[in-house]
Amino acid sequence: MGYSSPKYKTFAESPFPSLGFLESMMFNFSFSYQFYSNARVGYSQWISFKSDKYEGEDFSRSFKYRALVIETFYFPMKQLELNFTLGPMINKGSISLATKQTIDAWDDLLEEFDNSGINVSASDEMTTTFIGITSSVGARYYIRPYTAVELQIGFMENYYNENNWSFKDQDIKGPNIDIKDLPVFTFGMVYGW
Amino acid sequence: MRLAITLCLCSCLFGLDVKKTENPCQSELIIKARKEGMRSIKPAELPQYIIDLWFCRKEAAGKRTMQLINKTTYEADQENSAKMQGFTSTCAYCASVSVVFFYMSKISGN
Repeated sequence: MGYSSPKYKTFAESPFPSLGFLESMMFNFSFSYQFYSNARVGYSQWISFKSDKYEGEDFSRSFKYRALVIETFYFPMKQLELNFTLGPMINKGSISLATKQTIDAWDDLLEEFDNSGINVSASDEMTTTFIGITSSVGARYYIRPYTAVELQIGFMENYYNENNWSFKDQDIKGPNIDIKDLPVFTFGMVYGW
Repeated sequence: MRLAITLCLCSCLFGLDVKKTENPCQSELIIKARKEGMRSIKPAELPQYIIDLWFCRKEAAGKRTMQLINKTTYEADQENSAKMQGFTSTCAYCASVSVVFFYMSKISGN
């Protein structure tokens, strides 16, 4: 589980209710492989997700911060590991809206079978991709040789551009979001061999 | 589809070559883990090790054996990774310095 402090400016001014503290919580998972006595390589992903209603329709926005990381570590004492993580990121943002509407062709077809007033749902999303880097330092305490709890403090530096969104293969302008420098605090369970 | 997955899993389970010893706590893998730590067990040996460990738990010496394996594993981990080696210290310095600079610049308001 990660905590950060993004500023979703456009969203804050919009009709969506703010989730407060929860809006800054991110779900995080990662996989890593130890290739050296003091080093691991892996993949890590943080997900910031929000779903709500926009003008009565289902709205969702997600940011996936995806990093390929190299993590070096050492054991200053038994069961306690200090680790240092660095990695480039390729992130993805998406905003989707599912609308219910009546489409004449569908209506005509359904009426053939004595149906009427059935809404057809149409969903589309606008997306963006941006790069970044992440770095963190942390401590991991092994409760069992294969289970540990971990606490990390770090940051993400994102190069997000609001003019770099696309919708149905067209370049469009997206929300003004301040996610350039994100402090990140992560707490997690580690399970592995 | 579900049937295919179930059949596949079942065939994998039936295909496991489970070696049983009279005292599961004295199996080759348990002895290896007790001497060198559980990370000395290779991924291919893992199913057999888990099975041995499962049967060993029920033995009189099971708890003691598991405590010994845990202790040896912690010691082996510390021995193998007590100090940074080679390039790893460079990565650690880079990560530490960047985190410190980031928070210093945040605190100073730049």
